[in-house]
Amino acid sequence: MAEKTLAPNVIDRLGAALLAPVAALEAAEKPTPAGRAPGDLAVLVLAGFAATHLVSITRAAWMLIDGDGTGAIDSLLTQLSDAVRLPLVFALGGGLLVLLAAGRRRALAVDFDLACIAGVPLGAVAVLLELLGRLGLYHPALERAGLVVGCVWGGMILLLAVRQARRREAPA
Amino acid sequence: MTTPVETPPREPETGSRGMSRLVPLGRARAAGWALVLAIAAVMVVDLVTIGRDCDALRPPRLGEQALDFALPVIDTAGVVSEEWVSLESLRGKPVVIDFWATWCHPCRQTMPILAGAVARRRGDAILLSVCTDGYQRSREARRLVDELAPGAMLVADEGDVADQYGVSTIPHVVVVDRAGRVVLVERRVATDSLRSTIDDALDRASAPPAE
Repeated sequence: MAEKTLAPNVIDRLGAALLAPVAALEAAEKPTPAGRAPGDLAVLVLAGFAATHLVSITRAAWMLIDGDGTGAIDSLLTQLSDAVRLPLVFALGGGLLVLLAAGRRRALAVDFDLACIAGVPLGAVAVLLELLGRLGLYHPALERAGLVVGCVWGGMILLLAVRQARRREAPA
Repeated sequence: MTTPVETPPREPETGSRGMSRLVPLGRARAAGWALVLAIAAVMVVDLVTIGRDCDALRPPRLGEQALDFALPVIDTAGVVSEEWVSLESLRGKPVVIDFWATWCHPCRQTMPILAGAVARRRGDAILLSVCTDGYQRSREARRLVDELAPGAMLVADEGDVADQYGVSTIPHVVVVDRAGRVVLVERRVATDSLRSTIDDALDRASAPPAE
């Protein structure tokens, strides 16, 4: 009996990026669901931001109510840029790495998709660290360790992405 | 005579939407849902916090009581010490709270102005220098304060107090009067007019508390 295939919804794709990265990377090369990886990463980062910054969002809302709209927007944008910086840099840098490593087999959009899949562990680890903090288990060493785990995890997926890109058929 | 037609090898099970490889769906789906649950759990915890006291998240406004806080002092050796100072403990004197960071160059321009305004009060005002990267760069923070705002009380913040005070850009200056009420919130500090602004605020802050 055939095993079920991975249904291409965002939750399954994010889960696959974490635990079945080879399949997630291969899927990203197919016409469907190609191009979804950046959107999936954006959903993860933005949902994570909204969930982990509710207190800040509430403060910004108070500032808005008190007539300091600029301050509220400044505050939110500063925190949003902090939250997206690492995954964005990782995805862009990783995309460039995959692109260069692929040589003649490069495919700009797909290589960027593959790097976005590699960025998912960073977003997931960030959410997990926030959860541990809410449970009273925050420790600076734990945060640093989490960052290292996220980068190593994402880095390994990036290496798989390079391997995947180099397996493509070279253009004639 | 018929030519035998070669049947192409069958593609692996692809599913209806283009997944090329059989994937342990259960494992991936479980991981995805675990991620969703983690996000939801963080959200629920924060919603409970917000629901308990939403007003406490409101940054202090003019005329309101300043939010109390306690932060560790960065000692003369540039080390985050075990000694903590609270805003409440400074009650009775006007306090100029300066939120800044070691990487912030505009902050270096405002620090001497604030220090000068406080010095002119001859001990009847306090400059509380809240360094928002003081935990990471305590030695640099101490060096800058010694150079630009000697006499300031230097404390380290990880951003929590800055968040409470609605600090979105630095430098950010708050002046609190003798009774602990906010008399000035200077968000976008204009260096050229800062001296008179702070002097005016300290005049108001120094007035004896109304009965």
